Amino acid sequence: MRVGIPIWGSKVSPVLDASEQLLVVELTGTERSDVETVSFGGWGMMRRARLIGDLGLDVLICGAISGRLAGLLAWKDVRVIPWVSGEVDDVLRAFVEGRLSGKRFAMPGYRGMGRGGGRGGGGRGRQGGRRHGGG
Amino acid sequence: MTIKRKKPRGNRRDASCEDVILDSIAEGVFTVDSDWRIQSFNRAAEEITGTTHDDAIGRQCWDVFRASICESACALRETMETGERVVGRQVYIINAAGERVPISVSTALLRDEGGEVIGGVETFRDLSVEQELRRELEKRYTFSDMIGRNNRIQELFAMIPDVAESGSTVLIQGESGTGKELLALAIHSLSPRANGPMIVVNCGALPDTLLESELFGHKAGAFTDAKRDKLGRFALAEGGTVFLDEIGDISTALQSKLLRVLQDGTYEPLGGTETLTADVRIVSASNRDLPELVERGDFRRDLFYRINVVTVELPPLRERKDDIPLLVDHFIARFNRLRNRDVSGVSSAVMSMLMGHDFPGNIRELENIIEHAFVTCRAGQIGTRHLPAYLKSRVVSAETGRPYSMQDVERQFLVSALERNNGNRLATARELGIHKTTLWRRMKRLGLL
Repeated sequence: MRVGIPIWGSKVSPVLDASEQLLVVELTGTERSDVETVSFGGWGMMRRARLIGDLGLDVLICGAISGRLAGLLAWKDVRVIPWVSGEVDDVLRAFVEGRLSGKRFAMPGYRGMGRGGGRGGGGRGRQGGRRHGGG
Repeated sequence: MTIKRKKPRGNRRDASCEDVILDSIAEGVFTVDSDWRIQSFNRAAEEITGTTHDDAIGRQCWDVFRASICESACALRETMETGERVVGRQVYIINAAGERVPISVSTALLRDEGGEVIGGVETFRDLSVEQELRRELEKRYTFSDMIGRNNRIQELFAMIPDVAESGSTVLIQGESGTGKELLALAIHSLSPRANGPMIVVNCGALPDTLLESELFGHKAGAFTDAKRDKLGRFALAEGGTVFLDEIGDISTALQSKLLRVLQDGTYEPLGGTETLTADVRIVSASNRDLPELVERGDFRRDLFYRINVVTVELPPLRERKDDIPLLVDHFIARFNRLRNRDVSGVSSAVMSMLMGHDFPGNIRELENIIEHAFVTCRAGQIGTRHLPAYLKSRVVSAETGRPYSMQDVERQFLVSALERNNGNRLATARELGIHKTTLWRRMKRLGLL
């Protein structure tokens, strides 16, 4: 399973719309191998969505995301698990173990809609609307 | 700014005098400690970010504030590192509803009574209303004003960056009110010429001689009222984009001059002898059938081929009715901000009516309908009584005699798509951007099989 996650140092980038780097990892069972780190600092929303769509991700785990970018990604058939915060290693481990929907990784303000808890588990995952993630 | 050290409050009822003061301020305010953890978070900050005080306290500020600069150019970090204040930096945040909210941020150091730096304070102001008013005054819209989830529109969105980057001339075809100018602006703003101006010329609104003077400029004495030299739109757009709207309306004489600009990049101002060069990109639009005008001899074939290196077609609203609810929400939110109203949405009867309407005026007509409703509807839902009279006779579906349901709309949408593709399901599925089995499932659910 190929997972994308925007990174800021060792953390999940707080805003996908403004993030500068995206880490792509391959998860096989509990094994993780980092495939590549893609830079997209300063990119607009559409170029960003196009790039993410072209990476062939099974899942994108990210922090805050605008409804508009979420809509573009939904159209690109990218399953998004938004409003996640924390250390990248912890987040990926929690995703593998199906614990990502726990409060520990939820950004404040998040109201509990549209997040999957982990691999194959829970939630609709895909974001398509202007209003999502609570509010 | 100097404050006393204190423990974060966990309950608003325990609010201190300081909290009461902070809560009375219209600007959002939060303070952080040296580990970037939020120590205070006022009421305006809750409203602007959509995050409650209790959720925010103790969390690191980037998780709560979610600003475009958190990662790359944090204003608070700059202040903490340099000791210098940041004043009025314009950025955006993502609020809890997933909306980009434009804000202005200012920062300062936070010191204790002994003058020791203990953290920072950030104040921020919601600029949504200001930005909306300014845009309204300047008619300055961006790509983000293009709204749509319909497959054809999403497909269009996906190709805009490539079109923009190509630098080619672009022809936008679409009926009036479909958003041709907005699309032109999106192409310009994503192009390498984005830092240059985009100059709009409505070719259909000006008589021929005036249009020539507008496009190419004139020299003093070129005609009776030409008292002094005037720069044309091509000169004003130097390094940027000229958007020629309603290009199908220009005369054949002017078509020749335009062709020269496209072929050689040169032109002469009216009454002048000097040849000027134009470093502009031309994006044009027409609601007329240009190939037909070419066949009739009303539009030069060579000019047609020059302007439509890339053709983009904007579908009419009647072919993307699934976007109507989204557009209605967008216009209501916009007029709420502009008119300081609290309209929550439209009633189901109104939505049925809108879904059943053909919108010959396209999105502009829908916008006018919502604007009309705002004249009498100040709060709550827009009902049928708030709509223009011409719409009220369309309350029920002509087929069933009952109000339209979303299922009726979806059925109609699929039938139209199938008709466009001569009943070919594979082609229809491709047009709609869905798998053929998804199409089959939907047709079955809607009783079309």
